Amino acid sequence: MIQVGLLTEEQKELLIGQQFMLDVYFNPIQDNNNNWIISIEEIGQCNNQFAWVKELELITYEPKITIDEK
Amino acid sequence: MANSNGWGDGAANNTIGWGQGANNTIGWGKSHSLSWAGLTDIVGTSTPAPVSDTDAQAFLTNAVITDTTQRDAINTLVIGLKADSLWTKMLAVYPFVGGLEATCKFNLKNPVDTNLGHRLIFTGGWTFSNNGIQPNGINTYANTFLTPNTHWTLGNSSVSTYSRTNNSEAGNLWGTRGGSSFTLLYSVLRDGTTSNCYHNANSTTGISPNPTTSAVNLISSRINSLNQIQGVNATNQTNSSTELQLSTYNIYLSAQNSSGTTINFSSRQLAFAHIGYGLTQAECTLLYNRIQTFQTTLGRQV
Repeated sequence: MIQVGLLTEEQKELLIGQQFMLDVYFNPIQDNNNNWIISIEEIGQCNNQFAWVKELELITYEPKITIDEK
Repeated sequence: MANSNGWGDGAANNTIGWGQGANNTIGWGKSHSLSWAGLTDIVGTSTPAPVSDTDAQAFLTNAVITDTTQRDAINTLVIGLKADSLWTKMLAVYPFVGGLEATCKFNLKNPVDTNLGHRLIFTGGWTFSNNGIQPNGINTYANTFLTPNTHWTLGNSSVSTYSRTNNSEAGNLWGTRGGSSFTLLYSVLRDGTTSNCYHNANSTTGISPNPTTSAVNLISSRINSLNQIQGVNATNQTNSSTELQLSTYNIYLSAQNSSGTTINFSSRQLAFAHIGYGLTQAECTLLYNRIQTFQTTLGRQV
């Protein structure tokens, strides 16, 4: 099972558009339960002022089901 | 300066790297093996010899690629693309060498660090290695800043990726959509189940013969608006598929830019990608052969 970091709404807003390492950007997304999450790669590689993400609660990733409407 | 024994001090360790001599109680220097003699602050720099092709060298300089095997592979790739008259049909070529974001982001065709140069911007939890770029299939994509409606015209476009991962996911190797489904450009590649490809159209073209692995090089191309060419490794086919409209949103790698919302994340490691003008079936084969030679030189071929 894939683990991801659980974000609050406020934390999500803080991370949008921000880099977690040089030239690589956070991408908070919603899982199938509408939780805001980031990946463990972003957490593990973060080396700047957002290092607080390393303290995030880890939850099991449940991908959002998307339907590509034609 | 003379010491109490009348011997002169040895040369002190100094900024130009001369050795230290006397440093004991009688003014003799330590044995040679322990002395500073031989140490130097004069450090030479090693600049790799330039490769023969100036376009290749520009990329290697800007991406700071110093590994000789990688440098030679890039040089051979560019020379080969030019020999096959493919170089001028490329808008962006991403060879994914160097093992870092800072090296993998560069466009071989125009290796400047700008959106207009189509260097990649990576978002989400990517992992970079000498085998290429590894998305996580959760929230990763790479923005090419190439937009079909801006950079292509109907009947003249191509895109490819070299996947090193065999899995059955439904993630997109590349993708964009600008509102209407008529603009769909994406590819779904599975390992034995239905694989398909949309190329500026809302009707799919199934990839046939269906690949039994998704660890392949896949090319989609149009040289007219009535047909779509697909190349899976060295096997090409032309299918009837009417081109309808070009997306106004940037093409993403490893996901689909669906009118500004990113969907269909892929977890396949990519070792090459290109976006360019239309390629014939013969040109798809030439391109695949150059890519495969490149990958084999780097020891990461599939």
